[in-house]
Amino acid sequence: MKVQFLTESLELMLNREKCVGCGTCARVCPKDAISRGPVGTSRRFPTLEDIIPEVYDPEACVFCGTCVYMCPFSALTLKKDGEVVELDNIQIIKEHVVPKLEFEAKKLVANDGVERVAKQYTVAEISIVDEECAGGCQTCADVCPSGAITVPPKSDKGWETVPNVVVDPDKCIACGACDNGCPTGAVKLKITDVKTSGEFSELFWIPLLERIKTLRWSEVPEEKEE
Amino acid sequence: MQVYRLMVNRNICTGCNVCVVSCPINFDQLKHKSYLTEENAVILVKNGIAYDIYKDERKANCDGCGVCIKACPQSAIKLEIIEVK
Repeated sequence: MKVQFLTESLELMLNREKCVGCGTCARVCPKDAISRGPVGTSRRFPTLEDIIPEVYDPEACVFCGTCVYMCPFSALTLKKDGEVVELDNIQIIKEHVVPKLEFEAKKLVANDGVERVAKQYTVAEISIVDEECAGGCQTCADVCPSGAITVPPKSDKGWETVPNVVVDPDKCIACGACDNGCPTGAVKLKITDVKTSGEFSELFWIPLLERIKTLRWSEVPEEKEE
Repeated sequence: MQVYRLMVNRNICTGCNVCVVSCPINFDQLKHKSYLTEENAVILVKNGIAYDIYKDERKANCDGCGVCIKACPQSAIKLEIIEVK
């Protein structure tokens, strides 16, 4: 299923089957044209057409193509006059404003059996605050594209405690979908490194690098406590 | 910014409280206050029918996670998006 946006002759298309709601596009967007949508609902009920993981504002978009370039799942495509713009032809990549991403393509199988191909160019640490976790809502396990997060079944013996959520760090591809999807902000992903090579424009890339490391949703509960 | 409202089908809701218990935002609010009122809850049952509460001034509103929609035994809840600028 595709969700289509139209502004004059330029289009930004989102492939619902590929999108996992990781929020990378929302974080990198220089104009804040993309924001977080109802991630949990859209992933649980993929047939609902009006509920999309990322909310798009066509009035703010400048069609720079940053989100298309950075999307780990290649879910976004830019179209000009009805024709798909190739990645190399996007203005920011052509003029070496952004460096080349060093990634390895990984084949992923999600918990619900959907297969995806992702490019992992970030290194991150994932941590779960057990006190904030609601326990049993399973949004992180449903959202995770690589099946790294599982919710263990309750133990047969009632006196054994089972953790709410179990993370396999080897499978994690550091996309940020769990952080974006968690309703209470219990999953915290800390992006430590972005692998790149080649020349880039400092004016554009360095603030962008800071933005991609700032996972917006995990900041919200911290503000609440102040 | 988007605001999510939970629409409850009043004809088939049985008031079983599953949505109230399953909601992660309700759980989050119970850490600050030991009971749920209209002030802090996102979804509550009143007169045997569930209803959602949206308050513009508070921070914790419906997050759109869809846990209640999945948990509802009658499939009586649906999510609706209201855009606020």
